[in-house]
Amino acid sequence: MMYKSNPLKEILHPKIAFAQLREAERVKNVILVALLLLLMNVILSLLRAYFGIGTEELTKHLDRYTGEQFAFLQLLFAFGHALGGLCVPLLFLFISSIIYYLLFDIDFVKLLTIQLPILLIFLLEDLFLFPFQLCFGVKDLFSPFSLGVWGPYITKHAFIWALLRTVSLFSIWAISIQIIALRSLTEKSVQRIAMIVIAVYLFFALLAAAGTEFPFNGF
Amino acid sequence: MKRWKRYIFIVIVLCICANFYILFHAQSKIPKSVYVNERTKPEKTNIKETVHTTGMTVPTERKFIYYNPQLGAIDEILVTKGQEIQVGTPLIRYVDEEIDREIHRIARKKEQLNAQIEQLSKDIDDYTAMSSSAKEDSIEKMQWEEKAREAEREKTLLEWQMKEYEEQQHELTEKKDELIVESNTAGVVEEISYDKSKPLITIASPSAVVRGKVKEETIGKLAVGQTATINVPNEHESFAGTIADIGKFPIKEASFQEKSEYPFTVQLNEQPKQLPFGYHVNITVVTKEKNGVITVPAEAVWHEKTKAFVYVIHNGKLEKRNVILGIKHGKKQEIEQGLRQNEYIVSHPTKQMKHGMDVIVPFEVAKPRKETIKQLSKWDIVKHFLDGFFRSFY
Repeated sequence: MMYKSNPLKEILHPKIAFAQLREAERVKNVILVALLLLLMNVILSLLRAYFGIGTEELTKHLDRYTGEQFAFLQLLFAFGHALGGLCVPLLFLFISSIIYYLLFDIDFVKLLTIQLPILLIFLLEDLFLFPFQLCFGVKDLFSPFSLGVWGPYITKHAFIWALLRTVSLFSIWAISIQIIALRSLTEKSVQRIAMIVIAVYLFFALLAAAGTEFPFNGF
Repeated sequence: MKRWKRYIFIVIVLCICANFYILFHAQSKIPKSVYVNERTKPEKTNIKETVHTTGMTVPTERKFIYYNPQLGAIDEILVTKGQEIQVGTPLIRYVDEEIDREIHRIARKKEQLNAQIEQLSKDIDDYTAMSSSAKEDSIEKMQWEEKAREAEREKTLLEWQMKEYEEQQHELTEKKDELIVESNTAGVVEEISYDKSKPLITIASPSAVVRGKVKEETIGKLAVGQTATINVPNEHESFAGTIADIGKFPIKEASFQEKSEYPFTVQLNEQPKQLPFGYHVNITVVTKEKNGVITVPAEAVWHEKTKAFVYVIHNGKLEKRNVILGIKHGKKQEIEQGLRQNEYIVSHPTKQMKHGMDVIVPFEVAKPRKETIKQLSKWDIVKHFLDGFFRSFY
């Protein structure tokens, strides 16, 4: 039997979709869907850069540069952002697949397939957040769909804010989809799978938080 | 199972509501960015403050000719409305009945004298004929000659009398001529009125000035000597002039309900051709002029109570800056104090903006030149590229 990768179906009816995936002998369209999602991510990144979302650090130096220099730096930022928009999901896709491949004895392509709906969920999160960022000046770190907004009320450490930010409605959704998928494919206990998935997610959360806090201040 | 899902759903909705409240309530601690669509730097320019109003062309001067009862009754008005007149053009003829009567009487007397003189001339001729027909050295001849001499004397007397009457008549005619009033200015007859409260004849001078009106709020800005531009509506023509006079009394009678309007006069540097009197025009008066001052778009300035503010982009953050305003002209606003020339300000402030917010600006599509890139340090280039890269970690 052949399974066609369809992230939309997988996030809406995960149990049915992943049951079919388990039974499948071959998986189709994985690369195509992955490329499509990456492309959309890149487009969204460019769009955000075009409207200057996330360029707070760059704007601090507005007075230092001439108009033309500033425009060039904006262009560099946009390139960097687009590259990030391509690399970050790609890294996530492969690193998480490799970790699960090492932990469970499942086909690598099937593991890649179950990461695609996760990418779609994070893309959706970005899409939902985009109007809030543009119209209400909400920063990435303080998404209203995450615990990030609680950060400034709890602590002064920006790193903790970044960690809190990783706990969002969409990340919970993504984790639950992943648990359902892995459970369907491995038939191991929920607790064990949940532990592993949360641990992997925590690893990525720490990585993301570290990336967000890349030390630019003072330069 | 279903109930369990419903509870989760309620919890999620409540959480999101709480998040939105935390994020957007008035005293929220969450730092926010603001999207500054357009920014601008103050300009050093010349600015003038103007007052716009309307007015119309009126004659520079008006001469009024009043009825003079000492000269008698009016016989005839010798001009018509709209007639162009010169110095010396007769305007009004008065009539004095006594003089007329006297002239009439003298004329009758003169006729009488003429008849008498003619009669005497005839008599003299007769007497001369008679004496020549009479015998030489006779008494008769001597008598006729005597009569002829007497008649001659009488005639001379009458002729003297005649001359006297003629002189009298001349004097009276001169007196009568004085009853004609002549114009001592050139111009146009603007109005002829038989209303006793008004002048009999109004003569408008041919040159024009512009009479404008100004509201009581702005009257204080005007001063004699300020330059003004007169625009004829629907035409490109404009005339320059200066304020010559500002009225101290309102145009209409002052009332408590209505605001007053005051008149002022603009002397034109050049006389407009083919612009009739009473033609409505637009007036722009330059009330103040300053050179080399800092100006910003008027839209960038906003007010809070009596103070004026602009948002300055300082170190990537919004800074609410109190400024002292100077004069305003069109879309330009002078900033007297509080702003330097090289600072970026927000062109269109919105209510969402608050002091201290981080600023983000849209991307400007421009092809960079090589020199521009060379001026940047490598670290600048790497740093902002990496900044863009790491911003995509969510």
